[in-house]
Amino acid sequence: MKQIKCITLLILLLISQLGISQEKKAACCVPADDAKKKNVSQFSIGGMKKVPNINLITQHGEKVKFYDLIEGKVVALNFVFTTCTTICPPMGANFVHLKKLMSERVESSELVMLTITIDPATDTPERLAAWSENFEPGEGWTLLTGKVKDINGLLKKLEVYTSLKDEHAPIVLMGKEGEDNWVRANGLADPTELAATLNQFFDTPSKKDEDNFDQNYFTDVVLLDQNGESKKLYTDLMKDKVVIINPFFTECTGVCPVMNENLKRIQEHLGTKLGTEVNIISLTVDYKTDTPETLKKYANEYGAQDGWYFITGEQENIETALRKLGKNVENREAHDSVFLVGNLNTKLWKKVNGLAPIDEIIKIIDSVINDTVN
Amino acid sequence: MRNILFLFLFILSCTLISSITPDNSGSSEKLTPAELAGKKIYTEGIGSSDVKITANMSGVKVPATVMKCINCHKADGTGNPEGGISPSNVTWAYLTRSYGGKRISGEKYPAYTEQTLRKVITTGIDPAGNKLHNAMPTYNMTREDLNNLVAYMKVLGKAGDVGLTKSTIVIGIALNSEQNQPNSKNEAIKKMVQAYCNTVNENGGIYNRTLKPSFFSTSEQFEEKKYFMVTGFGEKEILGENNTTPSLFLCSNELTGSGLNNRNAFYVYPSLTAQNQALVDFSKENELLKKKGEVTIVYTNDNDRKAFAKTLSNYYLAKNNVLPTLLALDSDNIQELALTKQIHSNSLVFYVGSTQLGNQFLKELDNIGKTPYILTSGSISGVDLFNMPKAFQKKVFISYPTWITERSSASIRLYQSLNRENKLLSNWKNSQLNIMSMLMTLEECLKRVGSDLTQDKLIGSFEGLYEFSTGLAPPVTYNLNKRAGSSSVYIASFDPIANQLKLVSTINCSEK
Repeated sequence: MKQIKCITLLILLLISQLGISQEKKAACCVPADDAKKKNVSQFSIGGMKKVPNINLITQHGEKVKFYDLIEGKVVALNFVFTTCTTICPPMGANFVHLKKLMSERVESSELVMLTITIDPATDTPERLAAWSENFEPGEGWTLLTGKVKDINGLLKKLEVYTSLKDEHAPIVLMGKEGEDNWVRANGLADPTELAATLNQFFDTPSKKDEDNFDQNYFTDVVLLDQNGESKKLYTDLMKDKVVIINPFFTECTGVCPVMNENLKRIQEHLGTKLGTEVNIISLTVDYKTDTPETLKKYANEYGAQDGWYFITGEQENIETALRKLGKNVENREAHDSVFLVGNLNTKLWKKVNGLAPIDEIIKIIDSVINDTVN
Repeated sequence: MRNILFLFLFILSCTLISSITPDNSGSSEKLTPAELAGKKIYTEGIGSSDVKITANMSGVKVPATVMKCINCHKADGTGNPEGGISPSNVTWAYLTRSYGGKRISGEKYPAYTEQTLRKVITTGIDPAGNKLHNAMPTYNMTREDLNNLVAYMKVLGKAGDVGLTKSTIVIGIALNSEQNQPNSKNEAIKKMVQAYCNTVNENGGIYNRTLKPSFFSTSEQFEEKKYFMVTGFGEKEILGENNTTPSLFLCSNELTGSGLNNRNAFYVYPSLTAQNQALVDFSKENELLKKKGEVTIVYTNDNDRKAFAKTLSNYYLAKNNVLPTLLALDSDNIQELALTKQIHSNSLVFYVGSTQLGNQFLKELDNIGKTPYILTSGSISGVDLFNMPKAFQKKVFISYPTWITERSSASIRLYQSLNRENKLLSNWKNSQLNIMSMLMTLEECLKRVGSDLTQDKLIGSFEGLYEFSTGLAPPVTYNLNKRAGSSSVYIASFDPIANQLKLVSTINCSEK
């Protein structure tokens, strides 16, 4: 009777593992290049094939299973013991900070933040709870203890086991359950770096993060258009648009008139899209000469419509904008003749020679406008 | 010739005395107020102003109580390597070496000054302008706090713990203040302590330190805090809730919980509450009660006994899913209580009260022909088994925290020899054996630490005791989560044939 039980158990185990490994195949399409760059070693706890699904107890005394906690989730996992006075408190503080940085993911329970004690004999749920309260963690941080044998087994599989608890390293493991690109990182590292690493494991970037990224990069530095109205670089000129950016200055007699002729033709081609879907942004590299009044006159010469902005601004601001777009120059004559064409919705950016035949330029611009998210 | 010998002895004793006195410099009783305030910052992360000290590490800001200096740099400032991080030696002598120092990464830095020490604590920049390792937080604190901390760091590692010098260890002995008459219990305990410490000291002391017992019986006397450690009787009233001196007492009133609640307090026996609760476990194990619902707790309303009765009632409810009836007993209502319907020959009565009233109550029950099971804890209440009605001889069970079989002949012989040599007042033998047992345990823990003694290490030494037996009390085991050394509660009843107590059962209480 006992044997039969064992066999059924074995079969059940096998089946569950098969199921999991299939799941893994389907899910492992996220490239791991970014993680490699970070100089952290990669490994797999994919599909729980090797990691035992042990019984654990949370700091609130609830009985849980390790695999149930991490199934299908992105996981941040570190290891402490509460009587450790040196590296564990900073690791705890760092972990809570990381949790705050990732709060949106934690709240949507896409991300689980776990801490496993390496001294389960001493660390009762009561101790873990008291220890974690030091860091004013709020919700969403699970600390785990269990049987010594079980936890040691798990630690060994995760390759973080040390025979002396005092020798344990400040490691945090990050990855998505079922995938092969888990990383080991220094748990005392800057939490913003850890958060950046953690963000790579999500299939769909958080909408908020994505917006923030562009906004943080381009910034909302305040500029002036040809009508003397202040414009925020990202929010007013770029957000949700396709943009065509070129550097120029009004006194330029070389390439600028040629580029502007081209832009005029592009304006005709765009028609009603200009100002609604597409903005043309001509940035001056000579803020001293090019006041809004000068720009206004210049714009009228080329018959610029709404949506074609001639931009100047205070030195610091216009230089920031040019630098962010890679167009900052020491002297005005050094500016290039390249159009930057970017789709802020799909993140596709292309560079076009502003002096090329107009048909070729329009072809490239259209390819950016028509770009879709997969 | 004799004169010369006397002279020699005189000179010898003079040198002995003079070699002992200067050693007192090692004690932290001498710390200035600023240094003491600095010590609080170093060891607890708590400053003297209302503005809390914060620690900042890679953009994370936490209270300094979480990352205090002592955590990594140790009590003596020498640093405690862990997890690949090697905290620096921060003793003043080391920091200010004239040739400066070299970091693990190879960068050299000049000797620290008071100025650069302040800078490195608050900004993490060393005297050479290098950034320290990011595992060292930077600290925000008021100017006054920083002054105090620096003042303490100048004496860090030089000042030992309270009550400790190179030649003495001061042990506070707490005594119950009730009896002060000659030949009293306290006198007997004092004699015992003195005799025991003298024996230890005559044999060379503990790593060249002599044990200096110092007796106290009020919280005011304790507040002066000159003790390296404390043992004795009557803990709570004297030491208060937040005692920070390592202590060993017989047992606490409430369940001890783990060392998380109070790291400094250790006990020999299970708490009084646990001794009481063991009776419930005993009644369940032996199925004393056949039918559900007939359990009463009879208590006398004095000396915290009401509180004991209440916790006992809750415990019974949790274990058996039955709420016992609570009945208050006093000298006026004995007859009335005896008539209570719930009490009959097949029911269970937990008795929490004085011996005198207990026996009267049994007599009254006997008069009306009721013989319920009586369960009582010998430490907080009792029944005089030798003077109770015959009908109860097989129905009364008393719990004790220790039993005669836990005493070894060797230890008893040691007690007897102390008794002979020092004319101890042996009419308080049990108390004397208890204090002797605690002193033996303390001696063992002190010896295990070695000569480099601190209060912190003493606590660690206690936490390493496993099944340690003095031969006078049950073996004790302590660890981080266990503060009651023994977990055994002994259940005894009356043996009418031998006319003495007999052990019925040993309950392993689950108290930590």
